[in-house]
Amino acid sequence: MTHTLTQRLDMTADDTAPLALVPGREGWWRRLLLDTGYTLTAFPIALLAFVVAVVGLSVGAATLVIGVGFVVLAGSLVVLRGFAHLERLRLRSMQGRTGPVPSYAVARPGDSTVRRLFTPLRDTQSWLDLLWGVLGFVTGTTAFAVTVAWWAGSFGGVTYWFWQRWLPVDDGTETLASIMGLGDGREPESWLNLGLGLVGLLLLPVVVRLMATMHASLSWVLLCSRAELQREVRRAEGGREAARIAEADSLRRLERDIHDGPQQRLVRLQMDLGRAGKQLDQDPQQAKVTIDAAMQQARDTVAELRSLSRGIAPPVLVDRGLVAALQEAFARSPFPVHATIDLPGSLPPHVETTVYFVVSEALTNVAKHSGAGRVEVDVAQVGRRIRVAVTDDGAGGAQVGKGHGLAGLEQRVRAADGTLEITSPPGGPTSLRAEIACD
Amino acid sequence: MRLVVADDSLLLREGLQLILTEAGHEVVASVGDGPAFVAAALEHRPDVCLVDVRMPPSHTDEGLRAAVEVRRQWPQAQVLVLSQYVEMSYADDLLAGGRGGIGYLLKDRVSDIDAFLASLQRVADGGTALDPEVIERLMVRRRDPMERLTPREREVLGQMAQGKGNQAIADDLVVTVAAVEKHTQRIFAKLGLLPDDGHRRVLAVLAYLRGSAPDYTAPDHTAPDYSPG
Repeated sequence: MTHTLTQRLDMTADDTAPLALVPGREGWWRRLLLDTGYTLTAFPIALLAFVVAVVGLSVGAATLVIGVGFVVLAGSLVVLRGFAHLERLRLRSMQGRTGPVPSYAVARPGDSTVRRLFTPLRDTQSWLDLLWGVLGFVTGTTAFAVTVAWWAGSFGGVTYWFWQRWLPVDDGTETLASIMGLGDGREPESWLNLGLGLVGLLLLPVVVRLMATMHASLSWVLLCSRAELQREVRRAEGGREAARIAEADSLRRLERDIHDGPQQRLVRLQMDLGRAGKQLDQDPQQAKVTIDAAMQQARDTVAELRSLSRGIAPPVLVDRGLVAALQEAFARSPFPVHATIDLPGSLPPHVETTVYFVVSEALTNVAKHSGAGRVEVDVAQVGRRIRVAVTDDGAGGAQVGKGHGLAGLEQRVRAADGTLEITSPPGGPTSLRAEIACD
Repeated sequence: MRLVVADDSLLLREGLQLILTEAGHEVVASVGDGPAFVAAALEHRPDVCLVDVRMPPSHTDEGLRAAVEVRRQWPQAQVLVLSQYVEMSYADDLLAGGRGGIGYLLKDRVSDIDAFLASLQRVADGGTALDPEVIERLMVRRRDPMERLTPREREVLGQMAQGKGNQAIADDLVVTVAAVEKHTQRIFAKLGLLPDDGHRRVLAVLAYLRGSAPDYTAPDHTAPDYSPG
């Protein structure tokens, strides 16, 4: 086998991009406008939501005794749900916070009309919506007021020198500048205002950002965090389920592999040795032939066992760790692999195994299907996750489906609390990305 | 004797064929899956069918179900089942019906070629050849009555259950045939079985071990929904 092997193993942490709240691509100007838009609209929305929340709560509570209160409360909770949806939309589009939508309690098919009517009352998220209606009014109003005041103050200060001429002249009043001992009259006052205005302008993006973040954080905590929690739980459950299935599957496959492979060979070996034993008495020459064949059988068995154990966990991974195992995998690959590996010293064993199999399966897949000329492998730790990317310049068209070995891989990755993504348009290139939690 | 061999592993089929032909037997058909085995057995009517349990298409107990099917259509069929594992439910299925000789051996036993050929001969003669491991498991099932037997008697019972005659047992335990006869009489008395001869004795012992009434002539009605493709 003659294949070139180009590898670049980069062991230093160089490209770990900090995960910022704000996507760094957009400029501060765009950010400022978005934040301003967000805080300015926060007030009217928060006001309406507040009215609905307070009126619904008080009227509902007051009329609970006669039963109407339940209906009023349920109704206002449903209306508030609309506001909550709107706020989530705003969080997503204006604040870049893609929070998941929590699952609201839904009336079951067999429920009675009364039970249906009261469904919102039994829903935790509905009450969080209500709480947001009340608290959000405080943060929304504050954010609105501060934003408006800061914009007005900054621009007013900067342009004071221009519009002060229309102010009525009243020599008796003390100006800020005169109090500070900068001198009387409009000129020092203009300079001071300009200075303050400039400082205000400079701080404007920060202040508006702060205000927007304040309101957005409250909204996110009350409206999205529960869903995030639910999603985590669901994902963990899905992961456990996948782990169970993957384990059962691989155990079965292993049993089948052992049965079809080494076990058969060993039985045959026994047969041949049994024959040789009988032949020794009658025909030693023939016995030698049989023993030679048995020897070959034994060799094949060892080879088969070796490849089987590699399928469970490659020995080099166990002995020398992930980086060495990956290098082995690259060396086995029939095409050049350009690799960048950036990993901490040691990872949990299941993470190492998963990363190894993602890379080796991906390489096998590329070799089998894509006809690629070169492959790039990138393994790095990003935050608390290991990111694996395998990109080839082949024909594309790979799918997570039967026969590509990718379905099994996806299960393996999910079992390790990770995600697997494959983009492979017809004509290529194919890119496989996996992220695996490493704690 | 004439044989049909069924095993999905070509490796093992070849191995078996070599052993059998070197012992002077004739393999009239060698097949690799359940339906082909049923067809070959019914067509060639061999002295013994040698069949592997796990075969295509189902890759489960295909060979066993095929053997049961062969015996349903041809109750005199003599079947020796070879398996990588001992499964009591397999043994139960096999022992449940048919009149011809029956055998159930671990594949490992084949390596003791003389013993394997003797088992094969017993099955060809309409007898029984059960793996010692099968018998061991059966005896564990009936632990209480087994405790009434002396270790030597348990040994003899085990040999009987495998399908061996008094002579073979005597050879194996290096005692006289008379001694074996004395043991068997005591065993039968202790277990409340009627002393009997030959194959009927084996079936009685097996039936006892399996915890069911001896019923060795009943036609098989346990054939599952199996039809040769």
